[in-house]
Amino acid sequence: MFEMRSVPIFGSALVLCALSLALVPASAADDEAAAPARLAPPSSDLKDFAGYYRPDYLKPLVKSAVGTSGPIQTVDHQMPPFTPKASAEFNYRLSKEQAGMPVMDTTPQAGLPSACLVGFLSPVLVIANRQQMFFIFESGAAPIWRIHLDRDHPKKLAPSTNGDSVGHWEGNTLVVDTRGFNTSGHLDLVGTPFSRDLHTVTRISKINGGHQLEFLITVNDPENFTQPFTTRYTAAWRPDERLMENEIDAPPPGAPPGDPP
Amino acid sequence: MNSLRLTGRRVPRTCSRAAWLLSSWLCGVTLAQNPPDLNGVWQLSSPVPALMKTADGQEPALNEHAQAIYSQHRAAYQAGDRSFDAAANGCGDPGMPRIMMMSDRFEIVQDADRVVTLFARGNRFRVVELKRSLDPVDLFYFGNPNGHWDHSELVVESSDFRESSFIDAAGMPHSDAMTLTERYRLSKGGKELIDQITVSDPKTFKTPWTVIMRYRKLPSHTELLPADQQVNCAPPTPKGSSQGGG
Repeated sequence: MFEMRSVPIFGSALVLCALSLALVPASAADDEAAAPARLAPPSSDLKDFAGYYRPDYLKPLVKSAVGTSGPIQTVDHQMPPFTPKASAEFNYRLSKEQAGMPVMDTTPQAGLPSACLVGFLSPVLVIANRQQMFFIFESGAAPIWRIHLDRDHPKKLAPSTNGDSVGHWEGNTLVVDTRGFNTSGHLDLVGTPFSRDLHTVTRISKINGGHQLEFLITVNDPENFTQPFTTRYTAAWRPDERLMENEIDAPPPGAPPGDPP
Repeated sequence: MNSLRLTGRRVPRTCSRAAWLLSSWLCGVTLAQNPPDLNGVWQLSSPVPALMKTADGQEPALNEHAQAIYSQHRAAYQAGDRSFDAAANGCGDPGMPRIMMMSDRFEIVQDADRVVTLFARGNRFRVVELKRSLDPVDLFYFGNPNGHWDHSELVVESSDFRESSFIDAAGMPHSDAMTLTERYRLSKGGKELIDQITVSDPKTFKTPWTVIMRYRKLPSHTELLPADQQVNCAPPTPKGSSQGGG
């Protein structure tokens, strides 16, 4: 009796299971960005970005190091509109990268956030207080992206490694203006160059019900690009992540003395 | 009658106890919901001596093996030789608790879920989770910190430290068995931050010991690390590299 009753119940369960599998959207099932279902959901506040994310992989346009999204690419998946000089520089660096001698091994200056979003694909923590929002990337020589929310750029802007970033809200999008770099460097880990005149506008929004952050970065640097262009990268909500330590053990020769106690 | 005098009115002792418990609970709930605001840029109120002293002015009681190492390092330090100390030039990792004893600025950013300390030294950061417990996955210079609010104090318990850093500039060692208990609290109307650090490391010290650090809050909008003081700790560009164009 038990077995006779259990069969239809088991069969119903199978049907339900099959139905539920069939009803799962293919995009969600295949989406690497989707966080495991057991994880805490993101805040429903679309202006609350706080928490951990992991940059999503984007298929590189050229052969690139494994585990990276390669060089920066435009929102419509094209190479940036290089000036001839920048093109030559990029191609030289790309050849070094593909020969196993990436320039990032010797030239550390990578721009935030693009280099961290496309290059390392390692976790990022977002935390904010009343005055500032921080994107803290696990990897990178200068991994802290500080966005001032309560002031404009200083009139006398002292150039710095990561430039000066100020943000304001347009609806639920944080619009971040960054300028004032103190050196030339790379927009990615392959070697897309930027100059001290680099100016970026980054529009950051929660998408996909808050399960992803979208970064639309408009890059303007006439020395290296014939016109401004926009990139698009995303990062997935990952409350199970944490930031590991980024070791810098080897001091550079000739570095200024520190200030130990 | 078993009672206490409170504000001039005689009340039953049981009532006063209940009122005290209720007020304590309410106070705890309020503090948990509105913990002290540690946000800001902080700096040591006064320099810390190169040789570590406990809160009561004593040298931490090292065991024999650790004392031998410390004596060797201290002799080198006093002779001006810092070669044993990777953190001496501002780039190597000083680790905990030493980085809290340095004169460099640090900035605290907090929200309901975590407290992050951003250090001017080397762009380092330390994330203290308040609502989840981090599993020990590796040994770190900053250890594996977990925190919670105890009324008005932030309590941070850390373990799993890499043993290659030192506790002071003179090379006082510690082991991977070190655990730290830090109790952060505000004083002077929020203008001072006090960190009471208790160090326990049975492989290195005969007994746990405590040191108390005091920091002053710097004015709002103080830069953590002014641009002209930034130190690039990444590898230098060798001659013949691609930097500057092909």
